[in-house]
Amino acid sequence: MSETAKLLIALSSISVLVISFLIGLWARKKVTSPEAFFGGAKIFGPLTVGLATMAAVGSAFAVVGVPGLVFSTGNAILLFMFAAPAFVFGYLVIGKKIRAMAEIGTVASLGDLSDLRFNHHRGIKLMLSLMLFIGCAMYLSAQVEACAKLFENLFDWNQLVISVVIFTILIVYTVLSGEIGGILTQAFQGLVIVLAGLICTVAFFAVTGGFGPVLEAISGPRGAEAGLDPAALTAWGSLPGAFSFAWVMLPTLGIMCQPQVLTRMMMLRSPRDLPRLSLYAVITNMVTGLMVMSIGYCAIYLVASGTVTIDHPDKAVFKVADYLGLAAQLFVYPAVLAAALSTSSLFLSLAGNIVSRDLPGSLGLELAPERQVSISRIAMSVMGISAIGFAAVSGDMVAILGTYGFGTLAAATFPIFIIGLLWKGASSQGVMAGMLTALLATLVGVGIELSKRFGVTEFSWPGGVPWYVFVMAAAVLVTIAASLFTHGATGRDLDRRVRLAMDL
Amino acid sequence: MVIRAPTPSGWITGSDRPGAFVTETRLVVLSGLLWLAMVVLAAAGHWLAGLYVLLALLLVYGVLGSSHKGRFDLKLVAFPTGVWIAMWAGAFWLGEYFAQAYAGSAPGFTVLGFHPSFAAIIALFWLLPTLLMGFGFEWVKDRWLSKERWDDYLESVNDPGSDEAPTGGEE
Repeated sequence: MSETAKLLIALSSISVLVISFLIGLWARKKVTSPEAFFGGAKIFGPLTVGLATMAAVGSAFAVVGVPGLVFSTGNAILLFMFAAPAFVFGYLVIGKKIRAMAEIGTVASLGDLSDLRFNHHRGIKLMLSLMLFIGCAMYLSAQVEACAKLFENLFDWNQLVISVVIFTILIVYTVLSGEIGGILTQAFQGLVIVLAGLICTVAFFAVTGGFGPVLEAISGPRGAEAGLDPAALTAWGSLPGAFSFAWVMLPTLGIMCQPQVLTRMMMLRSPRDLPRLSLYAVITNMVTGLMVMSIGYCAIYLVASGTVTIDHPDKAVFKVADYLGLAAQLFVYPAVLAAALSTSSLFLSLAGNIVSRDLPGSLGLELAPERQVSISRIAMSVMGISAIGFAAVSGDMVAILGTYGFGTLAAATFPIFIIGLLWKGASSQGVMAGMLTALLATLVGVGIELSKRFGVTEFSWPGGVPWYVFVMAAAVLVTIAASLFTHGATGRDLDRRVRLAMDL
Repeated sequence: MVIRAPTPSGWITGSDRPGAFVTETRLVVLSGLLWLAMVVLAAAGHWLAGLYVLLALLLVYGVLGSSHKGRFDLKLVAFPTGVWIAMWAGAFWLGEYFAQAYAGSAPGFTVLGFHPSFAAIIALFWLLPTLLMGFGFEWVKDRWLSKERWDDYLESVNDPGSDEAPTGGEE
């Protein structure tokens, strides 16, 4: 690659960062109250929220990790990306209830929502805060790692310096504008991802001639020589079926309780905009799905035809972009950055909310709203710096933890927000027990996985099913079972307005 | 096991249907059993059967989510959710059928260049159901939440003296 091309790619990527920063600065004007800073402003339309939701859900894992997995293991991971109808299902099932809760009181965080449903139960809020914090840490460090790899692929720059520069800018605009700036910058970053998706798809057809030649190439002698398996292009790919199961089940049940989705529902101007929001979210999600499939298939085609060699799956997206030429590079590299930034800003805000509002509240500490904003800003800065440090010292362990984030967050939020809002009999004791189960099981699951990684144990999960599926199931079962025999925040204890919201 | 029924002085309202809470609780217990069956099947190696159980579980959540003052709106469950779930069942069946039919060999035909097994996923798991759910939700918007029902809700929530559920909306 020529130095001019590298410079142009760097400039296009940096422009995403600069525009995001400027949007953040502009959005600062809209932060008229502490509630608005934390996400309590119901001022956004469906297009903004739809783009922001898609961008925040589509982390760097989706743009870098998924094409790599398509290249190395085939179609199974695309089941995860293609589960877009689950977005709509989530809005259909709990959307209006969540949005209705935002009319009852100040709801600026998931902890506020939990307070309303479970009568300010401190234990639930504490468990939720801890689980969300763990999920935030996992996600954030993985995004730092992805950004560092992006520029490392272009220039021989120091990973730590790259991370510090990018995340300092991110931290500054997130700290200044809070969730208002967060949602606006995420909407812009979503647009960048969609543009890259359209360009990659067109480029894929131009290079390969369509999906047929990819199938022919992988089935040919060169495909076998390159170590590619033709079974990769069946419905379930070349991985054991348990992965297909997990990658259908996890987004289908998990997407509706992800913080990226829940918090955005509350920021919508009107709940009757939810259908339109879901339409924008799934259409943009479809473009992202098309992009990662095109890049993954293009990688297979190029390797199977002997045009390109790819030594690590995570490099597939960059190798393909480099082959496609400058036009694709100018959009793919910024799209990777946009995906990492959008997810990071959301989780930074979430971490700030937890430390300044939810955690003190769960411990019985009442802080003035202005003080909460200050503490939140400090917490975001510390969290961002910690994520950079953690990513720098722990190598590829970060990427592994990043993939666990989705399951961890789903296990934390499903009992509270799905069971809790669909069933008036979900008791505070039941949800508390479910959350405790999720927390302990997550720690055990991560511990076992890391032990396997370092050769301490050879334990394998039954049927090859990923550990977080068991964690989610255990949390749900314990919540339901314990709720059948306990009564907190049900019956007479259930707030009249909450009952109305659940009955909507 | 005790299923606690609502009491008139508790959270039941004038518009609640007797027995709605019990039905809701039974559905939630059923969802728990389906979770258990789904994970046990997958852990035992029957992952495809686990996926079919997942579809049943989605149906249960769809029914619970359609609840309005104790009534389950089954029309809203049938469309778009029911059609989506049927499409996914078809995608899983066809995906597995063609994966097995051409296991270890090149497929005898392709669909727009895709392996027929994956073509089923593209059409019935992704494109059609995504569009169906996206546009279908917009189509049933008023049935899902009419303006009158939302306005009534806001009025009731903001009226501290009111102990009645909003009466607006259609049934």
